[in-house]
Amino acid sequence: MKRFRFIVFCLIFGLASASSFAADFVVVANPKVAEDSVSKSELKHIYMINQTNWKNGEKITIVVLSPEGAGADDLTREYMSMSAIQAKKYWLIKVFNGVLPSLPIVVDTADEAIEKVLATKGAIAIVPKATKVGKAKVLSETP
Amino acid sequence: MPSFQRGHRAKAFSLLSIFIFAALGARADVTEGVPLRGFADFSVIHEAADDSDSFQLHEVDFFVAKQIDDTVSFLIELCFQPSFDGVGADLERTYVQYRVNSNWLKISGGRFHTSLGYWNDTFHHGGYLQTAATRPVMERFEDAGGLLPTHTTGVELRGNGPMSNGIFGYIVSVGNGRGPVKDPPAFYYDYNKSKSLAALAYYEFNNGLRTGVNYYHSDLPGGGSRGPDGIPSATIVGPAGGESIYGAHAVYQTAAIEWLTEYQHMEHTYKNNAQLSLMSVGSSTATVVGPAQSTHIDLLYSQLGYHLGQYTPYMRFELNETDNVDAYLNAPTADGEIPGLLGTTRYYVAGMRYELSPASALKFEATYVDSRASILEQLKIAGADPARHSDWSTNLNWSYGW
Repeated sequence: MKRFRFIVFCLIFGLASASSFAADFVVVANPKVAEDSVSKSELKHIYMINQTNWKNGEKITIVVLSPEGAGADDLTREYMSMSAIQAKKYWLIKVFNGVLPSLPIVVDTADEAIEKVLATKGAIAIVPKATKVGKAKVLSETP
Repeated sequence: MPSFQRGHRAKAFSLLSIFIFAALGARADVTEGVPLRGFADFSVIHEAADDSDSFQLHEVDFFVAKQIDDTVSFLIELCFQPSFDGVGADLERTYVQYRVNSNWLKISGGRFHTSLGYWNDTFHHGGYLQTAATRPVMERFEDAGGLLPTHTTGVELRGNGPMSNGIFGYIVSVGNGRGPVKDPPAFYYDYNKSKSLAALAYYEFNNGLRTGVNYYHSDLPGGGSRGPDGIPSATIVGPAGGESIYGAHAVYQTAAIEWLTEYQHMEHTYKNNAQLSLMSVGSSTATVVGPAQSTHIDLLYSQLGYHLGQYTPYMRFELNETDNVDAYLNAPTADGEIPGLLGTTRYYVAGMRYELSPASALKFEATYVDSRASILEQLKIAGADPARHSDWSTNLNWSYGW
């Protein structure tokens, strides 16, 4: 019985952790991006470089926290099912294959991510919810 | 120092200088610049066969990729390859690409890696990008003893995009076929009237699984082939025939697991007058030993790795098997090398990768080779050892990319 309770606890705790992830982060984009929302599946396609343009044809530029940055590993595990170091290798492979013209823009802090998103046409980033997003467009994440 | 070594080095360093200055020049002229990226690695190798320990410099690979505008991009990859003879330079890939559709249709022209399965189209010359220290033997490039036509010069169409819950992708290319000998690949002149055709299709499921199939066909040029000047070339020693390759791959990658498996089946068929020539050890002349016979070659590897934080233990099994002495792949080469396509060989590889930093990795790998070379009996004229032999080696490798 104790074992059963332990398994139930782990399941509930695991589900709670998973669902709380999206609540802790926010998807932001350059203010000129036409989209108002993005689904989790679209986010995965964007970060896996299977979708490289917004619906109006504008090129997507990804802004990411450096692999050593706080939360970077959680983000890539959530949206790419890989660690931050694996994600960097994955993007390098895409550049090496000629699929991606250049690597995502890497920044050290969430505030820098917002600066880059504001300054770069078609840019997108996922940052902790506590970040001051300023004029960056917040995209609601649909299931 | 032999003169050819000096020649190799002078050529290599001249090319490197031109490449770097071109990249720096581009950086100065264009607002965004063209990042000069690359990979390099070196190893400490222990070979049990001759009880030797060596520091070994591997490929130094430079590449630039740039999107010129919304539709056109290019990639140039230049590789410096140390060997017993010194350092050679090779223009591994260079192509310009036009994006008809951002995902579904991209047209490229130039020299690229042939779409033969997963590894050859993913890791290219980036040793750091692959988990293991070494490539599987079946994935070796032509100039490293590889059997597959890993490079093609021609035109390529490729695309990929969301389909159902996964990603569908395809690559189709038409190019120069095989040259008179397997290395160098025919990047400047096509010795066949027909072109090579390569096609690959794959599907990536949402759970990290990717499966794919590929096909390749090329004619093999014969001894009567003519060079670019129309005169029969004495260096064209390969017999006339055809080559077909059928392959399949399955890859499963998650945050914890990396599993790569590929299989390629290669068939060589020869015309009636094609002959098998072999070169004796220590001799510079080839001897005709009989008519060329059809050959079936099976190449397989399966590699499993498990990511534990910065550590990734991995293991790999490889099988290379041929049912005959192949007239094209065993054709004597200009430098007298005797290619080693012999019977059945199994490779057992085990290793550990450690991520030293986000751009550098240390790998330790041990390889055991078990060769049951029954067909060696037919190669006595080449001075080959017909006995079964096994061997092992270790490799401590430090790779990095930038």
